[in-house]
Amino acid sequence: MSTYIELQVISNYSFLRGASHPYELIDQASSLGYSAIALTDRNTLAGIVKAHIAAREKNIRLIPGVRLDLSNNLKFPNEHSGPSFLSFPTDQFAYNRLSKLLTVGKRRAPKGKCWITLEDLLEHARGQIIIALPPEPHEEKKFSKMLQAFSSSARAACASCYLAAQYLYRGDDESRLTRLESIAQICGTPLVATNDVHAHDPSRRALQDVLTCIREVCVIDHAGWRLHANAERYLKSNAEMSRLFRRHLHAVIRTWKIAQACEFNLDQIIYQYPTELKDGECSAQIKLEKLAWQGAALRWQKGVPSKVESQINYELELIDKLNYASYFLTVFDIVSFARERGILCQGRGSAANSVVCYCLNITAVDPNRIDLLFERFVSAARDEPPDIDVDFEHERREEVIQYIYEKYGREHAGITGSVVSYRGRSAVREVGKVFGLSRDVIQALANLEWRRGVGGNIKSEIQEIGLDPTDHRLALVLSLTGQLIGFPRHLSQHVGGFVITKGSLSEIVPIMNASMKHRTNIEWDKNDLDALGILKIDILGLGILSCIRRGIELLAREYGKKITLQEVPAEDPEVYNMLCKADTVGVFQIESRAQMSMLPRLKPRNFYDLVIEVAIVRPGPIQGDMVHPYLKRRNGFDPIIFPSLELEKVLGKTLGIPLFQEQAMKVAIVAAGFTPEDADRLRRAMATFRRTGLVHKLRDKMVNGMIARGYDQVFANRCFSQIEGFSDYGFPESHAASFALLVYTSAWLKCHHPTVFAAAILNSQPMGFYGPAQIISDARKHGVEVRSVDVNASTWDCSLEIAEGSHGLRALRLGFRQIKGFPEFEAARIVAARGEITYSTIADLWRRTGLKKALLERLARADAFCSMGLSRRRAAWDIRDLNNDSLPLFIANNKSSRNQNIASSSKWSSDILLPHMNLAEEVVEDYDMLKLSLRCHPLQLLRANLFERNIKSSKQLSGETPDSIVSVAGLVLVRQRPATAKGVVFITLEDETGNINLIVWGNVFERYRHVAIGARLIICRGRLQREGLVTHVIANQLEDHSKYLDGLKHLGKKDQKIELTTFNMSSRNFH
Amino acid sequence: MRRIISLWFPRFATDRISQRHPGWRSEPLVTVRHDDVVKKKLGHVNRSLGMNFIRTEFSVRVAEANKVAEFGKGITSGLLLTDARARFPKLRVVSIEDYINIAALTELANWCDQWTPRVSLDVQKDMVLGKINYGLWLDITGCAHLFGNEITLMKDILKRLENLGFEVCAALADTQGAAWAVAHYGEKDEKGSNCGKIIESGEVRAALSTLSIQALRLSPEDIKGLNNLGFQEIKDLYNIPRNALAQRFNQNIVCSLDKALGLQNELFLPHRPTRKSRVQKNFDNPISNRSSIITAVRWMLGKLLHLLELQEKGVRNLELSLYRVEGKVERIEVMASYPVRDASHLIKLLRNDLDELNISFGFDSMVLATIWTQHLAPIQLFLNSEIGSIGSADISSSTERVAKEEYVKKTGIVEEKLARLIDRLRNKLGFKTVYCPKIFASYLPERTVLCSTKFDFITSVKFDCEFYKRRHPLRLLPSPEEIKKVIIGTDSIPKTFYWRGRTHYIMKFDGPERICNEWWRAEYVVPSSSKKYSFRDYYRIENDQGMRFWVYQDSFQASDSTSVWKLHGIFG
Repeated sequence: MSTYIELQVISNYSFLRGASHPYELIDQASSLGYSAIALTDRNTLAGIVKAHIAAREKNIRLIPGVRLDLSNNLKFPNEHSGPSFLSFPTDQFAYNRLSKLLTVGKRRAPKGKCWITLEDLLEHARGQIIIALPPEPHEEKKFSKMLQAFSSSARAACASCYLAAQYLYRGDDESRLTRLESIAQICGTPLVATNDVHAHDPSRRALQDVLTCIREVCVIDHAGWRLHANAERYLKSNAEMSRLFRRHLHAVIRTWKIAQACEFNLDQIIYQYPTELKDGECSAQIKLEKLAWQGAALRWQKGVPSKVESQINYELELIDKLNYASYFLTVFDIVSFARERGILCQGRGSAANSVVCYCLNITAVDPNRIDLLFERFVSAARDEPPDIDVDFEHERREEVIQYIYEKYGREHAGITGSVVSYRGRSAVREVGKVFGLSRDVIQALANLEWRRGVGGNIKSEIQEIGLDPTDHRLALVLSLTGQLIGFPRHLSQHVGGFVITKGSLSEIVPIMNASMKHRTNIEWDKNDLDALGILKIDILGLGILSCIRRGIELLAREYGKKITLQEVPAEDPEVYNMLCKADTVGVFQIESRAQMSMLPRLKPRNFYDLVIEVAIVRPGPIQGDMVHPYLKRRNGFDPIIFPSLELEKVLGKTLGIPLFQEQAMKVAIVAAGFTPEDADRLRRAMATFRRTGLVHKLRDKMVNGMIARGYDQVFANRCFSQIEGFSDYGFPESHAASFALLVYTSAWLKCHHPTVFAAAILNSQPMGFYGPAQIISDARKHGVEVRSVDVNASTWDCSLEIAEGSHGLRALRLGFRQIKGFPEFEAARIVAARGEITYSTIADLWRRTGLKKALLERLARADAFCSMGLSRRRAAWDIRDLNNDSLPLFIANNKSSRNQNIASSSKWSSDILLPHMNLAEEVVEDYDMLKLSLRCHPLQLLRANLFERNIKSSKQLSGETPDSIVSVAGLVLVRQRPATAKGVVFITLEDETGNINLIVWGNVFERYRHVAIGARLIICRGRLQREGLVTHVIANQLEDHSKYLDGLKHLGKKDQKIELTTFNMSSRNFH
Repeated sequence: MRRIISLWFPRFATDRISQRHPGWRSEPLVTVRHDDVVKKKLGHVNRSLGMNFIRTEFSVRVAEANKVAEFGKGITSGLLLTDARARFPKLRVVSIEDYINIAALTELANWCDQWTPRVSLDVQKDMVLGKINYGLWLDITGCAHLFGNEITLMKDILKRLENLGFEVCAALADTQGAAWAVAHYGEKDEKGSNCGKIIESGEVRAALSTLSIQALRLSPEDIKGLNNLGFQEIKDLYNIPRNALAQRFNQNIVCSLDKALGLQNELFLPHRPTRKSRVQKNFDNPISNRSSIITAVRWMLGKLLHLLELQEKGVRNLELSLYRVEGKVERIEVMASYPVRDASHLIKLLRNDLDELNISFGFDSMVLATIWTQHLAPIQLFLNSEIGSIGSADISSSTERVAKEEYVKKTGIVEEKLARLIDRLRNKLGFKTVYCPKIFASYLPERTVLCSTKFDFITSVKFDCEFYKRRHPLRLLPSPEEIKKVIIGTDSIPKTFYWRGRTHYIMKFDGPERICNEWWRAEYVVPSSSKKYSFRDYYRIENDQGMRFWVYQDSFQASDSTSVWKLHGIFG
């Protein structure tokens, strides 16, 4: 038992100061034999829950505290101008005050800062143990006066006050301790020994110095006295501290007494959910029941089926038992608000697919259709809050968020924080800067594949980019980068998790300003909240909802068809026919290449098939190797057998193969004998900490448990690796069901109204997997007439026009939004000034809108003057002629001179013959300005050259026999390296006839790395492989022919020097 | 009609380097602009690391690549240096200042006056690639017949330049513009040379027609604008009315075109070779009177400085040669630490040696010549004071002080008075004996003060207060000396030690102050496997005679069994 308790500890949540993770500090404390340890990050409680969890595991006590760096005044606030104190709450109320104090400081400062004065501290001091930190030697006199005054007022406010002393090997420690002792006596603040811990171990010194340099923005060689002189600020043992303070042993013993006095721990936080009641309503449960039955009556207008009725009763009972009625009412209220405003939304998440939620209109997934069990998510055994995520249209989510703030007030509602950590790229950038590497070297390092971690592999990559990995400085950069990865960098806000409390939220956790205007968020992230059992509601944005809303609006406006999300005709066989053909460009969730290759194999025919389709192409099932067994069983190649009877219940719906997250958990419970808590801890352990030790233990436990119960070891291993996959990106069944509904809706729209669908997607960009070029080429394949951007017809958004010879058909008119760098308000100006009268000339347009010439040039380059009969070059020529000096207004004022002006310029321009633009040039310009071309595909222009080289188009591939060697060429659309595919890279190429799928094995990829990563046009030689309807080319050889694209402009002109025009073609890389 | 040759050296810098290192010609070699490499704050190239760590805040690009690099490895100018290295890791990189290249080009221009007296430098920055193109214009109007004809002249020029090791593109035409265009953008053979194309008189229009419009020396914006309208070749512009073009772009395009076509005259500014400033004075009778020598020197100096004033130069290094009657020479050399054109200061510097000069029978001739001059623009300091009075104590009014501060900011010349003092000290005591201590922020005591013979007049010497706070001895030993026979007492502090011939008995001590080694420097690198961090523990100790020493225990050099103690400084 150690008598010394370290009371001054900062973790890396004191950003760029602490050099250890909270759990490292706790581990070290535990191995040094500490019975308790404090955590006192600078003006923040952000790391406290993480330390708390770690301490709970190690069975030592965490003393929550904070180091307060005060500002001297608020006129010129600066966190380093005032004295510093450590503050430890002794009970819950003191904790509430402390949290409130931090909130006050944070709300008055910009994001990331906290401005607190001495007065603020005294105001909230009641019940705190406050330890003053010693000053620099030359400030001791001033300090002692301040402390004297402070300690007497603190005592008056029922806080006890101490003075900390450190032995930091500064050369004068002994005399300093003596001086501090006398100050302590004068001020009546007993001396307490601390060690100002910045790291758990002195080996973190280099990292500590690097962090200092990052903070001070300097190079390590010039950091000088900004660094610490030595690395003594680490967690020391009881014996060592007693040796250092041998002349002041009472100061060491006092730490233990203080630790005893701080009885508060985070588990004592009392948290209440708001009741959601208006005047005259007696209880939330009764209100919920009323609303649920009302909703049920609306849903089943012919009478509620008895099975549903009993399910509702059961769920309501469970909600009552767990006291979650208010939570459901909150969600209901938010959803109702969105409905009122006409914002599309849909619930999803553990509790969302219950019948009650269906009745409350939170979700549109009819639980009858898929038969979900509510209890799995809200289990009575696990005292865990229900989790409902509500997706809203991504563009209008802010309205909902502000509504919540307004309804509950900023005192009661806040967005969950999220910790942004250093990843490989950002870490090497910062460390590189600290070591003074030049920008291009840093860039080159940052472009390496850091995801695989700093292993032996990175060395060869570094050699490849022309650097010497044995150089000692570079070696330091690499090793420190490795250490920095995973360090928290700053606090940000969670995408939309809201915490709502009945009491004051700021008394539970400090609230701070977000960098976004009108946003406030709390310091804890979602794992912290889960650990403390605090409810949160996720208000998320989903692009496809915006897209569907646009589609619905267009349907209503253009075709007069009014339809809501719920009214989309269900189980339409035509839609499923389309899905079976993998014709899904633009369809939510199932448009990726992996999904597309799955569709013809899975052949979805009903809604539940879609649910499976959504869930199966995820890292979880793939990593667990569940996909092929499932397909084999489904297609009848393998018999459907269950490993045991107990598992038949769990896996019955999915033919004996666990596909959903909760199935995997259930397997652990049923087959390996885990308790529900164990199973959940397993998932969490892998999701949050990834500490190999724990995972390993649980793995053994699960596999052995399953084998002991008579299961096959292979099956057991597979189940475990699936859980591993799920911890990253797993889908529970309810999520999949909610998504599947959106899949169906978007597929329905695409199937029956391709024009509307294309317009809706284009107007919701950026969104989804494909760019505008692919969306449009797909729409054209489905017979949609697409018209180019034109100043006389387009609006900002893509719009529908009556097609020629129409039978109610519409054509798609591209909007100004497709033009690169064209601002929305300028487009609005064009549309507003246009009214009913079309623009006749460029001068007319210029006069009426007052657009800048640079923007007019943009329009010309986008070829938007076709309706005036002007080609790109002619338009550009005319624009250059517009007189710069006279503003439109003056010209309009002085009409006669204007006419003269225009007449004179047109006289010149009409008889000048500008060089003709050939097709290739037009296409290059199209891609440059619009990222797509309605004229032709760039590959078509090169086809003659490619034909000479015997390169096949994607259409020709279908005529080739499998296993033959072919050459193909195409623009790079997508590059993917799924974590599940063990270094295999998937590249999708596009040519004028369709897409080509390349599979690049790891060794080939290494050989052609530069091509595979950098090229825009690839020529690939490889073996053809066919699997059902899907054709792949297994690459043997890759060639970079991007220069063809750059040379496109000069196609047909012999021996032209290739100029520095780059063909703009964006691909989607490694997402 | 004028006849003008445009010479272009596409690889001027690398060719020049290869002249000095013939072996490098066959290896990939690139240059980078020194200006890119050295940026104010972090500006030094770590040579020991082989340019791996050029400390700059900016990206470094290849300025010029030699033939082997370009054709063999695909390394072209404008490429990022890292990308270039990725293509060929053993790439040889030389950083070179622009002004050195320009100086070399100037010399070459001087050499070219063997063909014509009218030679002009052509240094242009390529706006697209960021590369600097070095070339020359030779106005050979009326000179060709001296060398046979134009063809033989051109052959002669090319042959002799190629013998010097330069890759040359050349063209001869009626106008500067046309010659330039053909030299830079004309057709080239596979070796990258155009063998000196000669455009016959009056055929400029036809010769230019198929060249890219870039050949007109236009700004990148104009080129882009013209390209957007579909104008790729110069002939596309021939039929466009000049005023229509000028109205839509600017006069530049029309001007360049007309200049190239000879429709407008282009100014030819011939380069004049510069001469070393030198003043000589001969005496009918040798002078041996010290005061008359000084008067003569003063007179010569006045003349020399007048010459320098015309060239806007100031003296950094000056040599006075005095020729004795009996056939011997006395030479006096003085150096200034900033460009000077102030006679009184230079006389003061010269007088040190003049006063001690061995006159014997006297001098019959004296030469005063500059060895090194630097640019010094004529400056008006303040309306009511004279040049040279900066830093003098008579500046009293606050407006003048403000004016002085502004002047200092603008010119970087501070403390001229101090600079003069240093000049005088240096010229008296020797150039390497005067140095300037500077504080360097480091915890290691021996690194806290840097001594430099370079005087940085901009940052005045200011001691950081952090430095005062440390209780270190003011003077350290040149290097820490190991102390032997250390007997350790309680608290692991030495009780006695042996140093410089005697044993010291320690009576009092204070410490330790623990200072970590600078782990980022190569000499302190520890294998990453050892977790221990290395440090020094400094103690202040007092011996039985009241002498105070500063000793430390070095954990870096110590092995497990022995500890190393060193004495670093003495107090008092």
